[in-house]
Amino acid sequence: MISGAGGRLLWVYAKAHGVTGRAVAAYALVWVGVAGASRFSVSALGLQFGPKGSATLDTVAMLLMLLPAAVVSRCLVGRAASLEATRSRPRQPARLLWVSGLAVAAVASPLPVLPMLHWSIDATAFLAEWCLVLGVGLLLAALFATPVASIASFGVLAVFSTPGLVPWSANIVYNVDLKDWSAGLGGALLVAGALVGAVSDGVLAGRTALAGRPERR
Amino acid sequence: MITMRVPHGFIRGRIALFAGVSVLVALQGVATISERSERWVGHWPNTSATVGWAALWGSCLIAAATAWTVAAPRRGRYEHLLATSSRTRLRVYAPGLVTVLCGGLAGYLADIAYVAIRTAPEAVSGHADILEMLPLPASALAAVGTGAVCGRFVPPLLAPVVAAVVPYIAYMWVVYTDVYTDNLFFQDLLPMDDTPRDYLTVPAELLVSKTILALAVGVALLAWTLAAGRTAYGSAVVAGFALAAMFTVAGARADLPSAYAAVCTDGPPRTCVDRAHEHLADEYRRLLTSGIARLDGVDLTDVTFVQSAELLPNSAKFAGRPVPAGSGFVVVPLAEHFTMPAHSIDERAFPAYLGTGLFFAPCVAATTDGSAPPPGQRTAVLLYHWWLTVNGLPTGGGNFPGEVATAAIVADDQKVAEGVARFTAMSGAERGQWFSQHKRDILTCGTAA
Amino acid sequence: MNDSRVLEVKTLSFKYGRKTVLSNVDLTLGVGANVLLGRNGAGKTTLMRMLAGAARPTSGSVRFASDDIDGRSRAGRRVLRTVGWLPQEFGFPPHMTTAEFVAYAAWLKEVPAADVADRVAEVLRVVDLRAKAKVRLRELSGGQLRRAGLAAAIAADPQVLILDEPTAGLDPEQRDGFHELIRQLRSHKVTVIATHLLEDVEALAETIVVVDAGSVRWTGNPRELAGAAGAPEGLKGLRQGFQAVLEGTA
Repeated sequence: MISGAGGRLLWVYAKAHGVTGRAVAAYALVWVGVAGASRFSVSALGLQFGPKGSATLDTVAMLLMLLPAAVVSRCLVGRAASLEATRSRPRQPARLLWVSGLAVAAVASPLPVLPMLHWSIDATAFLAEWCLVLGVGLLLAALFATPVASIASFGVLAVFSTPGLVPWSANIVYNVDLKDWSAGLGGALLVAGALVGAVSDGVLAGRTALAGRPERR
Repeated sequence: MITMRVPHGFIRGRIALFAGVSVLVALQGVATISERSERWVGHWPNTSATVGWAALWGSCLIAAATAWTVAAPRRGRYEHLLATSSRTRLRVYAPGLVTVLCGGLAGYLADIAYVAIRTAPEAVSGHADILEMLPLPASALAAVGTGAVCGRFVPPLLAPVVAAVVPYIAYMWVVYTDVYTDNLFFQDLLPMDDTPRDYLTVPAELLVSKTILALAVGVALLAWTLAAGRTAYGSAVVAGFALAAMFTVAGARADLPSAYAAVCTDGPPRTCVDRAHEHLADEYRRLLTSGIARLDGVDLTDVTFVQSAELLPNSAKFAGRPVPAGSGFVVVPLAEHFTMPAHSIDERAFPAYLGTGLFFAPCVAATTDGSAPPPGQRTAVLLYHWWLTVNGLPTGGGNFPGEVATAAIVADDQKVAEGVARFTAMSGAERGQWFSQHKRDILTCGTAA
Repeated sequence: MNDSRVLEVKTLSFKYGRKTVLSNVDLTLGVGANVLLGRNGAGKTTLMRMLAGAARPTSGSVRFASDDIDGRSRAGRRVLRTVGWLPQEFGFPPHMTTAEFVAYAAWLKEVPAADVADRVAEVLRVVDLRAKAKVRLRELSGGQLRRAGLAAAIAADPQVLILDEPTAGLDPEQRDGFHELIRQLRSHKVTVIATHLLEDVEALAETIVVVDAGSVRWTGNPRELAGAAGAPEGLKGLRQGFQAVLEGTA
């Protein structure tokens, strides 16, 4: 259990990484939006229509998932660059804990909206797809600047959302029969994203900029 | 004299932005459009209409790039410099906006060039319809406007991804509205259009108003973002008028009478397709010739093969050109790639369509009056089963939707099974003789066994 | 200097791309106020970043009490615990409160979690920001923000304090207050202050290092700087002396 002082410091650490009450509220709101979009349950791109519990998500809901993924990715970046550049506390342990905790919290965050999903949506597949989107987002955010990572994640989803571009038998984003693969790959990407995120700390993206210049530490 | 020099870094940045946007927009457009290639390659009207699909993800990319550019001052925390600048917001943001817009337009131009290059060698008539293509470049301005709004008002790190998602959600919202109201009305707001142009055209008024609407929305959003109130107001009014004009013709599609005209070739074999599928006529004839050759020298010179039973009345009714009378017609569909108006023949499935047209269609025609099964039905099954076997096609009914599963009939019906065995055991010469003797019975579903 | 608490810079060079920003800098800075004086673009900020451990030199070393200041090694990080840095422009999360910001700085410098709250209260008292402890950083004035930055820099009670243009952008009253604050701190710390303002030098300097074009041009005390130009002590003498050093006539 986290002690009072430890809890306060955890909150301080979170705030130093962009977590605010408003961001949390916006994050929750986006999830309600994802669940709301899933109510339509029509894939206008004609990807797949399925019976009860057989569908993953509609393309709109999938693309909307990019927003919470971008919000989570944004929290990888420390906002007090000058303090962090001269820290004496070892970087990686806290960083690894933060990124892992963030990933776990993010994976669990759509659980409250599961009852709001359309009846045709397979909850396991839904969570697997979220893991996939989040994993791609985290990994790319660990390697590139947040906006670049977000747009690259968008590109990945766009490829899978364009009917015919990826064979249905290989469409791990929308084909519910492949949910085990999605979950596995999503989990692997999450772990990879957390590890790379913990190690890189934005250095690869030149993000811990001080006075407009990247840190060379 | 003091001269102002534009920094090299600035120019390099603009070139990189332009190149990035144009390449990404072009590539996604090629990927999205080529995936639907069977619908448009070789047919100018469909080709002209299909370029709109480049806007599906293209708008998202252009909006994201715009948001990224417009959000740059807030990201770099120098917005105060711009706020206190004597330059107008338009002059401050114009270089970035123009760069992204030009990049998007260049990408779309590449997409248009791509479809033109694919269609030109195969098209036998017509030309690209500029009016059909106009909504695509116009949508680039609307996307820039959307991105500018996001870049100004959404948190800077999230602005690009929000801007990327917004056009897609707008697209799907329109689609949902039509799906849930069971019509094809609001989709006419979009640059992309799924209506096949084989026999239908979209009114020019609709295309023009769609283009004006996209331009006006783009200008209005941009002007609003750049605090040019009057322009925003004026553009919104123009957009309103364009929307009103669009709604008076939205959903309207006009027949294209000339597309129904029969285009026939002399035999053997004699073939007729309609003008909309003229580009497939040679391929159709070639496949028929090679298919008939498998019937071991049977003479079908007096038979006319037509792509559909409706060709004969439609050609007379719409195009005013009746098909020349012949001794008999055999309907063999074009076997286009599945259910949409395809523009290439599925060579693998074609023999199944030919066999059905030769052996089964006469029997189907003979039973439409509700009387007892025609006498040649069993022979038809026998012949079709043999035909599928020699062509290496499955006999379980999976060659096209609605096909008879001959394997099941052969398994259940002893006489048919014996007939198949007998027919298969014949030599080529014996079969040719048999076909010559029973040609009339086959084409009328008469007793041939 | 018999005190072991000495900041030593040895043959330090730094290149940014092809551009040489610092070239063969040798310095020894002891307890008290050491002022790096130089024009804009002289390389002061880059040197300050090296001293604070925020950037690594291309060659040469920065040592405090005989240990390298280098965040990559355990020993280097131990030294970093004793270094506080107030950069000219410091990135801050605008939604954090002053107390949270300082607490985060203390935590990063390995102040035990149980002591962080007391430490935050103490440094906010020192910089006179106790009343603003729960105010968000974005709501602070320019002077208050500088003091919040200073509070973060001294959160772990460092032995080396690096202050880059600490009075830039402050009004005269705030500047006086800041001078007073630094005078309190300098007495038992190696305090390095980069500035191009002679008012700061007059108010604070015990040792002056003139930096120009990426190298150290002159080292001495304020009286010696004025004397280098044959001028009397005071602001005018410092100006003339500084000018003479830059022109090479000192």
